[in-house]
Amino acid sequence: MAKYSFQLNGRPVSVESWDPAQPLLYVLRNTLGLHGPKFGCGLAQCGACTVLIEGKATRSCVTPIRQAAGRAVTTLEGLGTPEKPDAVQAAFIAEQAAQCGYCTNGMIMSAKSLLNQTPKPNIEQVKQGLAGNLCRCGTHTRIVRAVLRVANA
Amino acid sequence: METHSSVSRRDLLKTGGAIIVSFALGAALPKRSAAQNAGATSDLGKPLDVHEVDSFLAFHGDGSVTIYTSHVDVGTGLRAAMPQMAAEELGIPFERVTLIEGDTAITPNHGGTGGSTGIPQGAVAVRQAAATARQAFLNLGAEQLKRQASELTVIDGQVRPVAGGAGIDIGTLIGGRRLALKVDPKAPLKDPTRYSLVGKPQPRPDVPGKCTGRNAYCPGFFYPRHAERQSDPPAGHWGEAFVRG
Repeated sequence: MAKYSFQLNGRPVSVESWDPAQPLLYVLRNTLGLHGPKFGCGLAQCGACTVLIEGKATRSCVTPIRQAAGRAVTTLEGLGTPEKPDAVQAAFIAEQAAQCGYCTNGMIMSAKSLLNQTPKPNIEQVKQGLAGNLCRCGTHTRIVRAVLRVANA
Repeated sequence: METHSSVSRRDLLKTGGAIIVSFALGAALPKRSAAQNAGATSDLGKPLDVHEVDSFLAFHGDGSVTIYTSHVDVGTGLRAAMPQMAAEELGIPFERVTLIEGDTAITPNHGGTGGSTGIPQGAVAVRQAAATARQAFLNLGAEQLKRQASELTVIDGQVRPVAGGAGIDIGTLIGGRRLALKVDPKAPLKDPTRYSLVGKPQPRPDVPGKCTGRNAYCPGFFYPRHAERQSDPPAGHWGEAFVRG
């Protein structure tokens, strides 16, 4: 079985997979036991599975494991902990920007990616940056406020 | 690479088999879940009858209180709102309230979650039980403090004379014992103009976990692994059925 090595949340990991097309999401959740990235649609249309690859938001449900090889993958767990959340997580907590929380992973990872590229986005840029992330609970206004809170900090 | 702990299927069946069987029976006999009859008690020895105050509330010697409810928080904030409403009505600080939700083996079955019923039905029932308990505190306090109940109030976990003077802690008054009272549908509710907790935002306890990937969702529970695939699916056939956890 082929072996794939990459950086996961700052640590080197190596996983075996029989299929180079196996989605990264499955490796993260099933093999590596991470629960941050979620399975939503499996078609890169909802954003729940978003991770950062080299700091850029990537839909892990359609990213083959072979494409992650040799690169730096960051998941929601890699940003911070409930006791020590990173700035974006802390802003989401402060704004209570989650209801069921299933989209929250993608919202935070996409916001992280947006802020990496545009540290001071305006409200339109925030909306644009999160346009590919769906939330069925209707938490959007709080989510946008949370990202702007980081931008304006 | 992380390794999964190996709970064998045999071990799991040995310990969990009975639970699985009872779930199956429950599904086959839907009346069973509604059959929490008036006399039913839980493994904790507490009543489950929706007409009993003790079904909903347990008062402890340290002044803390546990709420038992069949409603669950699915991200709607019930874990914050229900303790807020109960604490307000009881005159007990919010921090001293713990919520146990969803497990009808130990909670009264006063409805499930859905259709925005958590507050208007679930929390309102708990509030009425709390209002009944509050009257009991005032009556018990009146005996202890040798005053009329009408001269007393409950504040900060203490029954105190409205006019001031020494009070008595609820933990001392009732802690560890059952009230053995029926929920009084006419027990007076606190005047909303005197609310100090309800109406003020209270942070939800589930949000930090959800924002850091630590919240447990149903698909994240790995065992039992009866449905685990026995062989790899053919290349290129990744369906969601193969996503575990």
